Order: sequence, then structure tokens, then C-alpha cells
Amino acid sequence: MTRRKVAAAGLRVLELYKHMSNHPCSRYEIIQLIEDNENVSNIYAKETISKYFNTLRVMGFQIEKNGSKFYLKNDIDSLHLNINEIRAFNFLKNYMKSMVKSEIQSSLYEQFRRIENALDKESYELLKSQEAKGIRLKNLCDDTSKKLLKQYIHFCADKQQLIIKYQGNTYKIHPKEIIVRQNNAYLIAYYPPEGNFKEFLIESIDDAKQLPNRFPEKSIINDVTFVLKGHLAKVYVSRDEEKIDVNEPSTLTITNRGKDREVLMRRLLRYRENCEVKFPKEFRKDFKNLLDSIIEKYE
Amino acid sequence: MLKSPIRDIKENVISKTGYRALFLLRLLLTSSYTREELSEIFAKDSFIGKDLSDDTITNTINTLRSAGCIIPKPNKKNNFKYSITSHPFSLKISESNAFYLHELRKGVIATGDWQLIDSVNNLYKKLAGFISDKYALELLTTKHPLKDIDKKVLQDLIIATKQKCTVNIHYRSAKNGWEDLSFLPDFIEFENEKLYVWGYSYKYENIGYLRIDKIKSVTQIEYGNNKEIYEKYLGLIKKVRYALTGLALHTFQENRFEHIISKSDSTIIIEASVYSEFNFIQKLLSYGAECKIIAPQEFKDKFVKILKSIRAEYEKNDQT
Repeated sequence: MTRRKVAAAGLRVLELYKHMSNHPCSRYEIIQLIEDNENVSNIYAKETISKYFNTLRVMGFQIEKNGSKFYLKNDIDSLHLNINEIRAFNFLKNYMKSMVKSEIQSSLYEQFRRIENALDKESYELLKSQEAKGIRLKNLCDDTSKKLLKQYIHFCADKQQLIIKYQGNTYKIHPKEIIVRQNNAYLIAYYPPEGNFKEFLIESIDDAKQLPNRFPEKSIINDVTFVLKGHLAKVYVSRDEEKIDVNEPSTLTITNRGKDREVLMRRLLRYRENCEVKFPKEFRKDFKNLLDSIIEKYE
Repeated sequence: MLKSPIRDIKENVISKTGYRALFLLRLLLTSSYTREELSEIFAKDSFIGKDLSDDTITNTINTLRSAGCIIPKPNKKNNFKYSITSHPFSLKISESNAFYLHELRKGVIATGDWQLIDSVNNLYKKLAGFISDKYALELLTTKHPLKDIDKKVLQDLIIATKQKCTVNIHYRSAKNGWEDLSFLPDFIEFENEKLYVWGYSYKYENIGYLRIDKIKSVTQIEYGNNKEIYEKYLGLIKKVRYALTGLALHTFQENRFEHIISKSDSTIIIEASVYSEFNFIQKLLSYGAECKIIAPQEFKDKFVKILKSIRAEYEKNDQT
């Protein structure tokens, strides 16, 4: 098969364009890129890179330097977004900044930059004018909150007991995980005196001290079995932590292995007379006590 | 798109073959050309024209192909013209980034702002053209809560809620199948990942709500005095006061239907505008022992009756 005749320098310019469209690059990275290209065998000086940059500029590309990196602006696409889509884009960019997982954030940051590069002139100008007016949602993860959150994530990973001061009480707990609900971060932890999991709003934890002793890894999840009846039994969609044990024409028996019994209890309350807690006996008793305690408030 | 090439630049500071490659790329992205047409255009360009040879076009086309452009050979089907059918310089959204964008949308959904969700969906639809992976494409364009909603229906409802005028809604109800309902829409609300229109139901002479993904059409109709009906509808909204303590106190967020009227370290008192008794009671039940209804008395009595009825079931089953 005859090898196709190719202009080597031309190919290098195209490869440079392709690479810089996706990532900002330092001079060193550009040189490495060209040296790694199997079609190229020579080593090129910085002056050659400048020549390639000039070629791109001549063809209408804007190359900007930010720190040690070069960014390619003006792209070959003409993505048009209307005002609502621009607002949505801004919102997503701001929301992304509040994400805790930095690897997702950096990957998305580059993706958003690429999308911005692909905008047509009108959309790009609209984006810039809207940026200052972008929708701000309550930022769970400003720098202080992020540090706090990371600290509790570490507590969960360390599997060591924790003493916390929360709403005027002191708890010695086994931290398990962090959940975020409606912009609030909660610590889910096992509380041995009650033999179940509890939820603690992280921003309401006044003090936390990690103890040196690790807690045992044995399973401390207690299954709860409940029965649904009536219309609810027909339409019920089980959760990830649930297993349907018995499915009869008019009833559904479900086992839940979830972590927080209190949350489960409140959910089961909403099912009203269509739900009955069966096992374990302590949970059934706790559920009845909950009902009694609410009724008592009105008597 | 690319700007016109800058002409007042010295030749020795650019790569001529690079220039030719980008020049041809730009040409073929805008249209298709025969070899002769390309020759003519190349000859007219001040940089390329000077070094033009028989091999120039072939060489440059091959360079683009080596960079990843698909340029089919000229044949009868393409009128012997060169064009670029695909190229690697376009915006690409990777499978993993599509997944992250989908996850990001979940955060938007959690805000409950359906108009923002709709805008995000429209944005993702436009980005769909830059995704090659089928699963990622499906994830971004179809896996969202507003996917089954007819755009025209939504627009018509938005207008009707603004004008507070009676409409005929062709609706697929679970009980009765397709039916026509006279309805005076008041507002649109996103809840449990579904979009609902709330307003006055002429059929039930009460406040009602309909799932928008089950609406086929919306037509404005003349039906009595809209202003009078709307006043009647407003009169059906109940005001309830309740107190929250414990964790619920920390997690409560004011919204258009509920606002805090007093607050202390251990309790907040909330006044709620109740459109649906059933939904409201469900919400109060989910607070468990951290909630107490303050007023009105009839609402308190209803709530206690429900609790006692649940309790009675356990009493009954404990005895059997």
C-alpha cells in the first residue's frame, strides 16, 4: 500500500489546532505533542511553535495566554444559544463550582470552556453580559464549607469513633457517610445506645473530636419489614435499599435495609392506614410510640 | 465561524503548508468543490498562489485526511466534488462528561425551578449534536422529568396561568381515560419530578391539579365570568399555622406557599396556604414528632383523627 503524501508541517498545525481546541497547553506540552506524533520525527524549537501560532492567528483563531498556558479561542462550531439557555449554562457553571469532587469539577470545567469556545459571536456576547447576573443558589460548598465537609468525609473514611456536640447534647457515634439533601449536608452515623443510625446536620454540629479507637465492621444494619395494602400496594415502587418479599393481590411485604430508622418511620407514617410495621418488634414498638407522642401533643 | 485570513503578515513567520491546510479546511466546511474550482481559489490566494503546483491540492487533502478528516473521493454521486463529511476539530462531549452533565442536572431538578430545568433540557438538546456515544446521548436528551411534556401544551398553560382564563383541557386521567375538563389554571409547580398545573376544577368545583405530561391539548374557552371564578377559587385556599422543632426547624425552607411568622432557638411558626389538604397532611406526617398544628382547630381535629386511625390498626392487630 503506497503511503499517502502528506505535508508534515501542515499536519502538525492541524494536530496542534485539534489538541488546543480541547485543552489549554503550555509551550512544553506543545513541543511534547509534536514530538510524540508518529508522523513527525524531528525536535522543534520554540520558534517553530510561534510560527504555528502565527499560522493559526492568520486564519482567524485567537490564542490567549493565561499564566503558562495557551488557550485557543474562536472555534469551528457555531453553537447558538438563546437567553434562557445562556442563563441555564451560567447556572450550571456556578453550580459545578460547588461540587465537592474535584476530579468531576476539573473535567466539567474544561468541558464548559470548550462549549463556550463553540458559541457563535452573538451567544458568546450574551453569555458574557449575563455572567454577572447569573443565578446564584445557596452555595453549600463555599471554601469554609468545603473544608468542613472534607473533614467529615475523612471521619467517615477513618472508621473511628467520634464525639460530637449537637443541639445541646453529646453523642458518641460511628460516622458512616455524608448525604446532601436540599443543599444541606448531613452526617449519617450509628449511635450505639439507641442501636440505630441517626442523621446530624453538619452545620449544626458544634464540636467534633475523633477518638483513637476504631469501631467494629460487623453489620449493624437492622432490617425492617412492613406490609402495604390497598391501592398503595399496587402502585408502590420499592427503593434501592428494599426487597419485596411477598407480592400478593392485595398486599406487599417489603424488607428495608436502610440506614436511618427515623427517616424510614416518617416515610411509613405518610402511608397512613395502608402500612403496617411488622418486624423487628422494637421498631414496631417505636413506631407506635411515635404515633402516641404526636397524638399527645394535641391532648 | 473563522474570520478572514489576515493579509498583512510576512510569509516567513507562518507555516505555508499549515496555512494551506487550514485554508482548505475552511473552504470544505462551508461548501463542496471540484478540483478545478479548488485550483482556481488556491491560485487567487496571495500565499498559496505563488507555490501552486499540480500536487498542491492532493497533498493538502491528504494532510486533512491524516489529521482525521473524512473527505470522500470525487465520484458521480458527489458530482466529483470534494467535501468534508466529518472532522475531529469540532466540540466533543465525552461519555463521562455527558454523565457528569446529567448528574449536574439532578442538582437543578432539586431546586424545583421547572423553568430552569426546561432551559437546561433545551441546552442539552443543542449539545446533543456533539455527542457520539448513543447511551450518553440518550442520557442527556431523554432521561429528565419533563421529557413527556408537549411544548405547545406547556406554552398554552403558561399563557392561561398569566391571563387567569378558563380553558378546556384534554386530559388522560387514570380513572376515566381521556376526558375534557374545564379548568382555570393558576400556577405551574414541579413536585416529585413531575410538572403539575394547579387551579380551579369546574367538574369538582374545587381546587385541583393536573399532571402536565398527561395533557394532550389546551384550548381557551368562554365560560362564565373568569374573575368571579378566580375569586371563588382563592376563597377555597386554607390558611394553616404550624410549629416545627428539632431537625425540621433547621431544614425548613420558605417558599411561595409557606413563610415563617415567628422564630426562636427551638421553634419556628409557619403560616401555610393550603391548596390540597391531602398533600399538606402528607407533608406534616413526614415531620413526625417535630411538628404541631396550631390552627385552625378543624384541621387539627382532622390530623389527630388520621393519627388515631393509624394507631387503631396496630391496636387491632396486636390483639389478633
